[in-house]
Amino acid sequence: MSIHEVRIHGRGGQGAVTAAELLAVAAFQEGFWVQAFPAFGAERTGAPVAAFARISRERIKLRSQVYTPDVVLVLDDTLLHAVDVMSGLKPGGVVIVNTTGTPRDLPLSGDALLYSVPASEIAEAFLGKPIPNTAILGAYAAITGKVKLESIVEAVKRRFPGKAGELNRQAVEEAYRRASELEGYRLPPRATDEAPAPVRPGPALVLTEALVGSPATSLAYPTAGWRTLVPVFDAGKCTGCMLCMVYCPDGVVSQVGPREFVADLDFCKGCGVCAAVCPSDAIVMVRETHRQRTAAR
Amino acid sequence: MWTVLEGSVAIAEAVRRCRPRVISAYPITPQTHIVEHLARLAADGELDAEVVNVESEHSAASVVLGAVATGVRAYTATSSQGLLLMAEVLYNIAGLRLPVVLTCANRAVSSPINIWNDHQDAMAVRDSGWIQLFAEDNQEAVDLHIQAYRIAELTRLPVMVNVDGFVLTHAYEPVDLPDQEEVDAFLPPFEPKVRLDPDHPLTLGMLAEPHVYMEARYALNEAVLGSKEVILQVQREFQERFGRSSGGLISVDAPEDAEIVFVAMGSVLGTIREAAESLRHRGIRAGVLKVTCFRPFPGEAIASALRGTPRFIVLEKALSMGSGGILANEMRAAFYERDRRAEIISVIAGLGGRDVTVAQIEEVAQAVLQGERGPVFLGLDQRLLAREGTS
Repeated sequence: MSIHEVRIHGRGGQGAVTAAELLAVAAFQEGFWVQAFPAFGAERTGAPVAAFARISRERIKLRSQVYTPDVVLVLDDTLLHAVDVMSGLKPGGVVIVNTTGTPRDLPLSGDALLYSVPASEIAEAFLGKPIPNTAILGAYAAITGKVKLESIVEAVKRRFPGKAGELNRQAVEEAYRRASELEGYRLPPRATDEAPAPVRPGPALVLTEALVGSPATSLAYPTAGWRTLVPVFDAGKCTGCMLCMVYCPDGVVSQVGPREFVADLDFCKGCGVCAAVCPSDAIVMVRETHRQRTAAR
Repeated sequence: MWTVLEGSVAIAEAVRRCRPRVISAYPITPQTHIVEHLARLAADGELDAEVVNVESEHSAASVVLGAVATGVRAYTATSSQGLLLMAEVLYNIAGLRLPVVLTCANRAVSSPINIWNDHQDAMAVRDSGWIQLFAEDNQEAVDLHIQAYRIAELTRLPVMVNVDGFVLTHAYEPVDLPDQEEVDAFLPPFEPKVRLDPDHPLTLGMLAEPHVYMEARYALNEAVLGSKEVILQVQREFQERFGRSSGGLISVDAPEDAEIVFVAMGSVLGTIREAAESLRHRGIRAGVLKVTCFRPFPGEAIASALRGTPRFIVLEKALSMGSGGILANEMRAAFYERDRRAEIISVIAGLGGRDVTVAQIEEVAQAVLQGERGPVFLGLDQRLLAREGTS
C-alpha cells in the first residue's frame, strides 16, 4: 500500500498535533483515508514534540510509528540544533522549515529539497500571535500539491470557528502564496563519515534488581532551549506582589529589588505563567530570536 | 456521519449517544481526554448526566457501582494504575451483577512507571467477572461502546471496552458516528431487574456464608460463559442496524490453507494485517485471527477455527510473571481440551509502548517457519541486557 507520511516537529504550544489533525481533516475531505497522531508522551510547553500524519487512497491499517516520512515540517528553527529532523526522510523528500533565515544558512544536509517559510512571521502579522501551525500547512499545500489550499482552509475554518478561523485563513493563504513562488533548495549531501546520533544518556540502569537511576537534579538539565518567548519585566509597573515568583512552575523567577524581578534564562521555558498571573501587567512575553538567546546566556 | 476525530472524542461521542446518567472518573493518562469531553458536554447542557468528581479511581468505580444499583446507566474510564486501584470495586460490580460500562485506555503498569500502551492493566483484572472486549481501531471502539451497554444490560454483567492508550485514544482518523436516533433504537432505556429504592428497600451485596458463596460464584461464572451467545446476538443486531460487522468473539482473515496464523488483540492487529499481506505477496500463506472478546474466553470458537493451520503465533502485549503469554496459554488450554494439536508460539511484544513494526512481525514469521519455538520477546535490546548481566 502506498502511504504518504508527514512528520511535524515543533515545540509544545506551537500546535504540531493540531497541524497533523488539520492535515488529516483536509486530506479526508478530498477522499483520502487518513491517520494523525502525536509522538506519544507528556506534552509540556516549549519541549520538543512531534506529530505524524498518514494519507492514503486505501484504508490505513498500519499502527506503527512513522519512520520514513515523505515530508518533514519544522515549526521552529531552533529545533534544527536539538533534533535530527532529517532522520529517516525518504530520498528526494521535502523539508519545510519555519524560519526567517535562508535555506543555505540552515544546518541541514541530505538527499532532500529544503523550503524555508517565515510561518511565525506570517502568523504574527495576521493572528497577532506567532503560532505557525496553520500557516505552514498553506506552504505544505503549495509545495507538495498533495492537498488543495481550499481543503486546508476548510479544515482550519472548521477547527477555529469565527474570527480566529478567518484570520487563520488569511495566514494560510499568505503562506501558500509565498511558498508558491519558492524553488526548493537542494541540500548538500550528508557527509558519510558523519557521526551517528549519540546514544541517549539514560539513567544508570540496574535491571537485575530494580530500575535505579543515579541521583540528579534538574540543574543538570537547562531547559532554556524549549523557549520561544521570554518574559520582560517592567519595574515601573511592578507592585512587588511576588505572584510571578510563586507561580513560576520552574522556580526560576527571583527578586532582586523591592519591585524588581528576573528570570533565570538558563532554565526559563518561556511558558508565560508569570505574565498570566501578574495583576499589574508588568510582565510581557516577547518573541526571542536565536541570537538574543545566545547573547542572554 | 463520517468525521475525522480523535479516538478519545469519538469514544466520548459514542458514550454520549448511550445516554449515561452518571459519569464518574479520575484523570489518568491516556484516558483523560475521553472524560474531559464528556464533562464538557455535560457542563454545556448537551448531555443530561451528573458528572461526579472524585478523589481516586476506587471512588469513581464506587460511584458508578452505586449509580447503576439505583437503576441508572453509568460510565467510567481509566488506565493502568487507575484500573488496579479500582480492582476491589470491579470484583464487587461483577458480583453484584451491575451492568457498568468502563473504558480502559490500555497502558502499562508500574514499576517502572510508564505511561505508554500495553495490555497488562486489563489482564490484571481478567478474573473479576467483567466481560472484556478489545477494539482494533477507533471505528470499532465507537461500535463496541454502543454494543457494550446492550450486552451489559442483557446479561447484567459489567463490560470493559479496551482501547489502546495513545495508539487509538490519541489518533485522529475517520469514524462513522451513528445518529442519536439510531442508537436509541438499538439501545432501549435501561430497565434493571432490581434497584436500590428507599420506597422498596432491599439489600445488595450481603454476606454469603460458605454454604452459598460457592454457588454464587458458580452462577457468576455461568453468566459470564453464557454471555457469549448474547455478545454474538448483539453483534448480529448491530450489523443489521448499522450495516457493519464489529464486535463478536473472534474474526478470521486467513486463506483456507494458511500455514501460519497470527493471533492478537487490539490495535496491533492493523500492523499485523499489513505484515500478513506482505508475507502472502512473498508466497507465505499467512493469516490473522483476531480476538475481540477476551472474557468470556472464546476457546471453542478459536479451537474450531482454521482447522488445517499447523501453527499460530500469539502476539500479545502482556504476560503473567512467572508463567508467560496469557492469551497463548489460554489458547493452548482450549486446544488441549478439544484434543487439537497445533504449535502455539508465544510472542510478547510492545510492552510499555515499544513500537511493533511490519518488518518485525515478518521476521518472527520467518523465524517460526525455520523452527523457532519461542517464547519470543519481540525487539529486546540484547546489548542492554548483556550490560546489565540479565542475559
